[in-house]
Amino acid sequence: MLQELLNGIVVGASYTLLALGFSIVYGLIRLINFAQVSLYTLGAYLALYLTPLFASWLPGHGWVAFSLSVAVCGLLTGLVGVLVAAFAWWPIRRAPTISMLVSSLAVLILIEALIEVVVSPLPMVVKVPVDNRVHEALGGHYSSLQAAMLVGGVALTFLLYNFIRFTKFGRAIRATASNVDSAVVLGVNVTSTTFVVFGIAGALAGVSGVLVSSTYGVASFTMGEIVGLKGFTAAVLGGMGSVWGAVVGGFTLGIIESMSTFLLPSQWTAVVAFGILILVLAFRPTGLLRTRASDRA
Amino acid sequence: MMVEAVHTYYDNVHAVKGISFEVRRGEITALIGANGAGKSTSIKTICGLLRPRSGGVYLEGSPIHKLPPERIVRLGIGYVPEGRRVFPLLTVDENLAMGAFHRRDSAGIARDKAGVYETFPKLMDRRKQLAGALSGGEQQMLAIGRALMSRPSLLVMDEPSLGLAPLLVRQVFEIIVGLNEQGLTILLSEQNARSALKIAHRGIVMETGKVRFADTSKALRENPVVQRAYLGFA
Repeated sequence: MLQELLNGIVVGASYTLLALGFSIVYGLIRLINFAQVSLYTLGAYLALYLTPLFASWLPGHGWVAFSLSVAVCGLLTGLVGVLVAAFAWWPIRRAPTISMLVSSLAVLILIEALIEVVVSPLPMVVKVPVDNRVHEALGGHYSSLQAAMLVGGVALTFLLYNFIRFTKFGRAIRATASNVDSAVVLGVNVTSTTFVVFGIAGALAGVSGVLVSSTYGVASFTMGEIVGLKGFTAAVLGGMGSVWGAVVGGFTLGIIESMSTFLLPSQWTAVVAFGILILVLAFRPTGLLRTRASDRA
Repeated sequence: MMVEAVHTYYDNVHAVKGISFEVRRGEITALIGANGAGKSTSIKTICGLLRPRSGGVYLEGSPIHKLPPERIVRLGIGYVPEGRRVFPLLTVDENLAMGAFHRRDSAGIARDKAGVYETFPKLMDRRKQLAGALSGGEQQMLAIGRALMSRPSLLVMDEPSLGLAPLLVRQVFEIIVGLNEQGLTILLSEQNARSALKIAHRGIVMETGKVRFADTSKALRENPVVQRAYLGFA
């Protein structure tokens, strides 16, 4: 029982990071930015090269090298996120949302295809230069990397939440999400704000991709698809556009999935996750945390 | 501020057809007209939310109609949108902070915020609450307070009385007069010509996208056409 709960929280952390990315971009420009899913994959593949490189620079300091790799991959995917905004969103920013959605999906397919062609269509083994021991605590077993994933996910979530909640820029993001025109006439530059938010979402996705591929030891060019859809589900579950909702949705989905293995074979977790998505959309289309439609302005 | 021969399209509708008028410093100017006369479109053009197809808007002689709205607010034009449009998911305090978004002087911002709370004590009581939870009247106070936080020299208000109970309308108008007495220039659009001409120095009557009359409030109140069409005289 506790083992499943722990597993659920660890998986939930990766859903949360993706859900946060979906949610903040959606809040700002009402776009479900599927392109960020490819940045999750891109993060994992960058780490495939960068983690051993940093480890060779810092022999004997495996955790330092790994942390550095996580940070650098996050920065790089963040930059790619800004580029995605520049090439796939900015030119069509006045077009209907459906066009942006298609453009975003095109970026997803393009980046995945590039990885397939440039690296390999086969799954890659991810080696992490750390002593990945299995610990026993709270009645369950978990590896050092699982713990790292949990700590990393929670720390980033905490950082982002406080950034959005307490900084001037975060306030501007929330204000713009709640009413674009009012924010603009008060001096908010919506274009640059959107670029920054795409960057943040890209960084979150990239970090998530590095953590997940390192923890489970494998990366593949389609690894983002199911996780991305689950991150999207988590964002809908909590209420698209709400930061706190993404956090609650991500961890809830991870825990429910993990707990469902008591009742169903583990191949069924995707069925459970998307079943929840359908139920939420049917009964609470604004998400668990969104109580009033008028809040969305 | 001068508006010169402005034509603006709103959703491909030719909503403003060559209007010209002037807002004099230190005065209250009321833009009067029925629903659909082009008042809102004119105001949005002044604030930069809409671009005029031709013509221009000049502040202190320099053109502002090509500037984006986030630049116009820095030049001292504060905007109170129609239907209030506060940020519902931000607290009252955060809404006011957003009003000072383009400013960097934190001491001045704190002082101005205290000033707004002094003018609107009700907002002080609710400063930690979400703006979406406020009543319509309180939201209007907040929208005005938020615009004041940008330290405007000209306050542009779109239908400030819309959807408010008569008692609140009177309150809002008293506040507008008070702000004007402190030296703020005000341009407001209003369907209720009778109350608007009571507080305004000058009025501009708009009909189907054009200026029909532009004169002092006194002259407009005595104008038989205005009386019949807008002031309810038989």
